[in-house]
Amino acid sequence: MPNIDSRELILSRIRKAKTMHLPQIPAQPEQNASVFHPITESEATCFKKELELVSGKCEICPTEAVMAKKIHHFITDSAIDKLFCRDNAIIEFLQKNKIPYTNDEAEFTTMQAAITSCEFLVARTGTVVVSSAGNSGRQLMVFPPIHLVIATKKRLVPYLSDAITALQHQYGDNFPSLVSFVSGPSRTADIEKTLVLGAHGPKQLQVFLHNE
Amino acid sequence: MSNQATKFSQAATRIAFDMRHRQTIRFNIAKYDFAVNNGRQRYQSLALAKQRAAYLKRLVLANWDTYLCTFEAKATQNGIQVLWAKDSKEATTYIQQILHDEKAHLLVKSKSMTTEEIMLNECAEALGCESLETDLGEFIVQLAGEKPYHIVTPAMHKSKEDVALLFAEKFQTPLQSTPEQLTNFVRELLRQKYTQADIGVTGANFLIADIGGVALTENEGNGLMSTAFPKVHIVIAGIEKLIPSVNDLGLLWPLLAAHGTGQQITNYNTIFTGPRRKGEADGPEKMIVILLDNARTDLYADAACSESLACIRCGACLNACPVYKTVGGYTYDTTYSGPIGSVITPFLKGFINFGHLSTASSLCGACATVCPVLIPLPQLLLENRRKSVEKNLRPMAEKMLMQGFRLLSSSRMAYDIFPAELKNLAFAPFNFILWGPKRKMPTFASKSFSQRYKQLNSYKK
Repeated sequence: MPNIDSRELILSRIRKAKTMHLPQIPAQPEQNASVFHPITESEATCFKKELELVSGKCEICPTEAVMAKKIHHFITDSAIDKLFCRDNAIIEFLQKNKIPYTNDEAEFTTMQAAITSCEFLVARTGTVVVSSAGNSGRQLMVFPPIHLVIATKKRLVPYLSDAITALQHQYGDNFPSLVSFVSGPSRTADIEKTLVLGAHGPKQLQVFLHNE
Repeated sequence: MSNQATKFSQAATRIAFDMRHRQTIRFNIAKYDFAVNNGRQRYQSLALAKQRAAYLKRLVLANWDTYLCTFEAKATQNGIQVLWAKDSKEATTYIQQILHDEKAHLLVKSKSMTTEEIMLNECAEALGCESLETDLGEFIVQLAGEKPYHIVTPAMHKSKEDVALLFAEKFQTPLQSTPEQLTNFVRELLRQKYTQADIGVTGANFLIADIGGVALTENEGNGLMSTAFPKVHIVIAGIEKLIPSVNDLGLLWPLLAAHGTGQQITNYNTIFTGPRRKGEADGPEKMIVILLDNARTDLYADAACSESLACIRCGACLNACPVYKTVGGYTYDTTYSGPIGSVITPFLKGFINFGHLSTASSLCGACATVCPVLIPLPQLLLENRRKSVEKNLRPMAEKMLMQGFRLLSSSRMAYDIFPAELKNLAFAPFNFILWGPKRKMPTFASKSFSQRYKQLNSYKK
């Protein structure tokens, strides 16, 4: 089915145009200075502040035990029966801390909330970087009405470009089939620019950040 | 004048004084302006960010063929099928073949102007495959049987009451529904569709050459949903969407957000590098990227206007344009409206029918000021005006008028020889014919500047 002729046609038209007029490239602008504001507080504080500006939530926990307690509180307050989880490492943590969960796929469409890990956290923009690499896959980052993310502070990076560099470091040339940079719960402003949270994805994004 | 030009004039005359339309657009754009102003504060140096982005996109254009081939090679290595389409017809032929092979009944798609360009919905429905817009704004205009009003905010022309009324008619929802209730209604409706759909279609904000990937920017999560459940992911992308490297996204994502909506960063910025990989939990079995030319190479052949291929479709020039704000998106009758649409459409669809769009500008320069990739839009509009004149596409009367004007204005004596009263009398009819009765022609002063200058200087002496 692929049309080789069209490929050649398009490329030859481009090459021909280039012989007629050389496209102008402006002088390369300065490449070292940051165009963004510097981070003046700790990366964790900056991340929390930025994420909360876009309606997400972040709990900074000194230990894993405190984190477990905060998750308990959160699910009780939000009247969540159990968390949907596909990640074995997290399941171990949930079991250890007696946090109710399920990994029964039959409960997928009716889940109230899901819990996943993440690749990185970007401090400057309050961004959670998730990928299709782990057991959670593509669906759990977008389908659950409430998305809980747990991460250690080691996952924090200052800027978006640092997260991209870190991804290249981790995966080299072989990226997971999907990497998404998520900054806050799903939103829309398509009706009269009125902000509504939870357009198609999660209505809440809750990050639990711990030191261990 | 071509039929299209006449249609433009008539539609513009009608809508320019439609107070309801004006109010809705002003309200929306005022909210946009407020957000953008806040977004700018997130930068230490927005000017430098724009220069870098402008440089990057020019670099791509200067080595366009090389980047396209790199993208193709890497994407193919990633397991993506890359198809080249010289025009919309070829793109839709590919899509119909895929729909046929997959025996598709339902296609869900995220917002993409390129799919509007090739009329993807009509092409799928001709095969009996339902094609469902999932972006809320697009869903609304599809439901109303309309086209997107704006390239970033498709339903900008509808008030919340308009949308509530539309939903009440189509879905029997309460007439008093709030934007939140309406959004929630669509959420629940579409959740069932994503899981049933055979095909997910998205556009591409960027094609990333060095990793052979596709970057998609969205706020709602409908793009993620459309690519998390269906077994096939089709991307339709204009060939100008290329960027050299994944490392450029750290610059381009915030810039697109700042100009598109005023956010620091759009909610979901996703990089796709293929179908589900071995060991991954879910994802499509196939990913196909259709690279669409559709006269972009014609645009490239034009020395001046080729620069407009640097556009990242943020929509900022539409929102800044006094003409767009007055005549609205539909008057253009094109896929791409506003200043950028006026520059590129004559190349995509012909100067004969769309050359007049370059006159739909006051050349105030607002578009060039806001452009994140520094496209000199007013200059390009002027270039296109010149082309229309050289191609003899302007009305004969205009040509004669301009020749007469040149004759009079190029000589001081000819300019001053007629008294102001006579000139005002001669120009009075234009107040009704060309200028329109709703505007007042400025009048000639009794003495010209030159006459007054001479007079004043002679007193001094």
